[in-house]
Amino acid sequence: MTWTPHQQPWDRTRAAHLFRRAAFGANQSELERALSDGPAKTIDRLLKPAADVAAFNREQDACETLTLPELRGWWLRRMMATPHPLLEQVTLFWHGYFGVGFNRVNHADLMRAHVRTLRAHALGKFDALLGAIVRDPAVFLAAGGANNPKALPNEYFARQLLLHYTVGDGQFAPRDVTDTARAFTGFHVRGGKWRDVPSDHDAGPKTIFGQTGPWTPLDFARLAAKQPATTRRIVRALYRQFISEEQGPSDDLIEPLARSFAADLDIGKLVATMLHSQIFFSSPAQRVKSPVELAVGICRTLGVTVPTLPLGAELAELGQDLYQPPTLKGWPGGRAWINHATIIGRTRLVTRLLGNKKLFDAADPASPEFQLA
Amino acid sequence: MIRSGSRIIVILLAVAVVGLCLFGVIKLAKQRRPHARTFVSAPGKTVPLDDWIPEQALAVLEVGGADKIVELAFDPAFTGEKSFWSQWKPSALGWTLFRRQLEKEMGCDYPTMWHRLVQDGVTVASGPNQSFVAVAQASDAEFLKKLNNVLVTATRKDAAKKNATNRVVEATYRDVTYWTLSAGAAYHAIISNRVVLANQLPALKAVLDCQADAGAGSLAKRADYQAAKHAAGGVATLRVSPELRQFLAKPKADGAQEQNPLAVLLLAGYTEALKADTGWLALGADLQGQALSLRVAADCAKPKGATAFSWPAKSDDGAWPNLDVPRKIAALSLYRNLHDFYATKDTLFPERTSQLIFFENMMGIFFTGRDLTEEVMGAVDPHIRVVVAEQQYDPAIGTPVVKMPAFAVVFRMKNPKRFARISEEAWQKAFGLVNFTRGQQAAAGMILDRKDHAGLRYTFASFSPDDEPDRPKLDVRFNYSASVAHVGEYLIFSSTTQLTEDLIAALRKPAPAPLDGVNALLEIDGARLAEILDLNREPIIRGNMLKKGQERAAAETEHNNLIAIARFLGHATLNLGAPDGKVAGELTFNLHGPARKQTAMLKP
Amino acid sequence: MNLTRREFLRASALAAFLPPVLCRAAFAAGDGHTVLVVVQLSGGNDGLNCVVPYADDEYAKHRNTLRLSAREVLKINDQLGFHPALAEWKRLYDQGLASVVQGVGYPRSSRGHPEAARDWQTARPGDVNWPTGWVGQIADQVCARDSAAVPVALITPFTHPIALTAERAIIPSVRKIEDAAWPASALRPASGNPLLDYVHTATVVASGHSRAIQAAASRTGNYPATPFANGLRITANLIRADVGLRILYLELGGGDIGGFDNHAGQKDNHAALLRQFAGGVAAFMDDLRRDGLAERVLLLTISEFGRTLIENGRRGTDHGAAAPVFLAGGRLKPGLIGAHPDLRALDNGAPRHHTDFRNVYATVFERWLGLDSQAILGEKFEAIDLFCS
Repeated sequence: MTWTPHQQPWDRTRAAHLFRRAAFGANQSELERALSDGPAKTIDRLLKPAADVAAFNREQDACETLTLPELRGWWLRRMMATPHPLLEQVTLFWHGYFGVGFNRVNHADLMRAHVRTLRAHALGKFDALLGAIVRDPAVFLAAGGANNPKALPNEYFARQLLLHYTVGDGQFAPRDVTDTARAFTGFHVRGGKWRDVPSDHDAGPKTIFGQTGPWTPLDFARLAAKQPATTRRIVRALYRQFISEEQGPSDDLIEPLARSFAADLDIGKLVATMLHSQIFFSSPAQRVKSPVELAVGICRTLGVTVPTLPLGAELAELGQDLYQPPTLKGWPGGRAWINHATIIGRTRLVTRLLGNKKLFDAADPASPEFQLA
Repeated sequence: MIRSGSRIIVILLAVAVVGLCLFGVIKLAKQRRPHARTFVSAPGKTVPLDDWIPEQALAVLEVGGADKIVELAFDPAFTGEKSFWSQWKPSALGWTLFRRQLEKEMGCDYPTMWHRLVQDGVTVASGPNQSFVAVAQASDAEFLKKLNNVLVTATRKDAAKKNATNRVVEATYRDVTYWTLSAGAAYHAIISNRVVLANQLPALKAVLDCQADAGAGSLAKRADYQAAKHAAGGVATLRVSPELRQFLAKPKADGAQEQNPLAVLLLAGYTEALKADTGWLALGADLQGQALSLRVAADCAKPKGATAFSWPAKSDDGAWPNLDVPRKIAALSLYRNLHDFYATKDTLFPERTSQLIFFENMMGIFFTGRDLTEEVMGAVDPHIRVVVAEQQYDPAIGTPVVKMPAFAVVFRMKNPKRFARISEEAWQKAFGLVNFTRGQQAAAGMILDRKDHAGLRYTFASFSPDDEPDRPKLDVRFNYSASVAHVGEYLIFSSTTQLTEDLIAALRKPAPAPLDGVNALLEIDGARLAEILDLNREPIIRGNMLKKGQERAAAETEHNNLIAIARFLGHATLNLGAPDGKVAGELTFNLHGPARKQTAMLKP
Repeated sequence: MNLTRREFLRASALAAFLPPVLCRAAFAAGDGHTVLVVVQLSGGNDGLNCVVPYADDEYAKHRNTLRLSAREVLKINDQLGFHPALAEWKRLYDQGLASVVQGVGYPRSSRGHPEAARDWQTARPGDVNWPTGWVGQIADQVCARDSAAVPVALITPFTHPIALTAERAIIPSVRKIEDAAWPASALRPASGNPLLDYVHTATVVASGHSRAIQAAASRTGNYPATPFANGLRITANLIRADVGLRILYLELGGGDIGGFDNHAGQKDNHAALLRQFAGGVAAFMDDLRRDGLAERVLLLTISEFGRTLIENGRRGTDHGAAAPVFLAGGRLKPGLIGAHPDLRALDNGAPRHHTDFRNVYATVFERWLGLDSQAILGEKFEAIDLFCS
């Protein structure tokens, strides 16, 4: 099993599998079109739809207000109506990856801006994404980086950036922590606004990942993004998102992808490679649908819009509160979505959303199969 | 020995007696056949049909002015293409064809048919087991008979075509023929010029029993229903039985009672009265020209106890007439004794929520530790008035994108000299705190200032537009220039200086006489309300899309309908109180029209 | 599913002979295990007017409008008495089903609502970045072993408390017992896909639980008609159903800043809240005792701080430090634990603490729930003597 494009026959099951994983789900006409277009063209269209996505997103942006329940509701509506569902899937992935939650940030406008930043770079270049992250006040507040004075560099914040956002546990030295903290000095968040205080910035040389220079946060982002440990982590995370949650992939399996990703840091291309591959198409029912995927999937398949304000609260009860991942580790996903309480809530949600409509897609909504993608 | 002549006389007498008896028997027999009778109504009066409604009825709707309702229902405003009702009209071709056929056979148009059908009144009642009956007295028996024949024949033909053999059934009960044209979904019977309709056979039979037994077992013989009949409307009256009221008033399982203090302040008096009233509850509707009024009358006196705060203590006291200001959207005048209300809070709303405690903490700060019940609530008298008016924006400042109306509350102080200073201090502290909190959140603050108007000096807090780049599209906060003013014994808390100044003028007029027995008077100008809804369509529509999951087109239609209804209902007045000691309420709509002059409540 | 009383006694007798580690394991697994009910009193409860030092002159001197006299209090001894609204609580206390730990607090409390609440609920005072709550941590520990388990539930929520923030575990909120209703589900053979089998097993177990909960709800007792008491009713039903819940979390005072935060007009408001508290807890304990469940349950109150001794001139009190912690259950060492704080040695106008709340937590974690307290608290805190043998 490799990352080469899959060659097996293209049928309804495989097309439905692709849409479930990459677009929340598909309605009848989308599925028919996919069958006639073939896998390569369909995946390309999922990555770059013909419709004017920018205009759609601008319109949605204009509707968004500044209370958290309404922001939640608007995002769910956007996911249900968007011509570019893969973008929303990956935006949601990054939202969980960075784990920036309103419970730490406490400013709805910052949260709104944060998710829009994620959306802007979701399928773009990872170094651009990380560059935006290190200048995002929401990130500073969520990761304990509200204050970065020169006199006392904020090592806690630096550690979170290294541990959760870039290279990961055991992949950085104490020097990396202290010097990353020094790189961020002079940047604070006060009253919900990001402030750059040049006089408070330690302009001396810092050594991060073995490279020395007068690093600033943007330099840190550039250096961290290129680290093999970072690229491997991103690849593993996306593997979990698109391929399988059950077993972690072996290092050998990850290596070729990690190397090609490290070359250009193009997230879209990485996702495309995964979606085209043989491995992708031989892994059905290997991940649990998150509550958002469950609800949005049904709505897109049926082509209905439901009241999303109460839906947002319901999905929060099932463990996925949009704009509020519990910690910086995001939502663990996988089997964690299913416990003796949530399975009842999830099945009820599915039954209620379907009403008495029938899904042309295979699985019986009340069955366990329906909970998996 | 009896002479032969007397024998002949005896025989003749016997024949005469027998003949008379026979004649009498025949005459009586004829009288027992009810379809020979015709029910007659006096001109202009509704015929009471309650001698045919079984006494187990749970709710009864008596419609007297059926002609007015028919006129209203067929008004072009309702039946037109783009009207409010057009979304529910059956548009199937089959229906149109059937209607034309019916009109041809009956020799009159569809609205006239309805008019004749319910000309002398119709009464609808709901009973146990979800049964419904309706009794209508039509213009004449011939018309009814003909209509019935046409419908039965047409349905029989249609049923035969579709091979639905059970659809039309004809049977007899107590000498009355009844039909079902829908295989048991509904039954109907015709007796002279009255028609009976029921959704269940036992219900139909119960009505026929009442009819055959000359009203025995009907509402006509039920004492408490007859006692409630004095509280009638003009066009229609709905009466709710004690049994149904008891069922509806059953407390919820988890013991949740209304805990929101504001809701308790406004409504507790009425809910208490409704609970105390044990008879039939009557709700009447009347239509006089352009005025549609709905009345409710409870057969109970204003309650004492915890809710006494909401009723005027003295017999000639009551809420004052509403204040009049330019561009008024709504006004509310209340009689509520705030001191007594807050003194009984342990009974009225025992929950100690975060919001209530926060409110008390803030009031403790603003009023420098004074006792909230005795020294603050007790410092104002029970006449409270609220006004909501449309704003006119000063072009020198700019216009906000979201246009909020201005609102104000007016109290009367018991001790103006003392409380004017206390309330001024409290207001300044409150807005100082708001300013401080806004500063903590890095939001723009207000400037507190005083200005003179018409010989009076008052305080206000407003936002400065100096740093705003886009003057025609300001932030929503520019809707507010909160102020406090003291006009003689009146205390005004207002959200804009413009409204304050309008109120200063209004309050300088001579003191109004209280409306006898009224404890709440609410007026809403539908046309202005429609304007505000129209000005703010975008945020409201977006909110609806989110809350109801609608597409934009559907949300816009709904919003437009809302505006149309507000315009149609025109000026609305809600009058609640206890004139003559009995709790009653009246809601009047001056359809399409301007404001009516304020009058005392119409007596039932 | 429920152990009979004899089985349970036999098991606990056996447990007495086992070394502590194994004893803990026996607690943690299987049915019939102990339950902790946490009641959050939001706003900062005025302990001085709950356990009243009525005989102390300092109390009389500084509480001008809020003072409770010797005649008004429900006497515990010749120094202390309960607030009269706690009459139902006093009944439990006299029956040995309730106890009070006095003078509980922690050093250097900021006395601000969000910070102090966070301190009590993360059990890491002063650490602004600690991501999880102690209840959430316990849930995560259990879920690490069994992903499908639901060891914690939030009953009738207002706002989501920090205490329940967890990394992995999803903690359900229960507003009505009907929320847990689910039709029966039949077991199927294994499908070969472990994930599918996992989901299927969870469904079957969940429907079994829901039947147990509906059955338990039909045997509920009498409770006062307040939302708090209703929450305790739901709690009792969930405990009776024995579905593996170890911690149930309730709030009194309406979440947010909290109804106990009486800066003004404290007298009636505090009394109303205490009456609701006592009435609810008494009905709860009576319900449990009827089914012989009281020995398995411990109810614990937490509040972000106590209040000042001196009134603030608005007939209320300001944020303080130490306050009593209330416990109810069938296996408590009854009475008052720890001395009443000395009113002549105040800490910024409020009584000084002598017992760190983490000692109370450590006791509950180790001796009641059978968990390693150091892993949750980050340091070793000595247990105190709260339970009878």
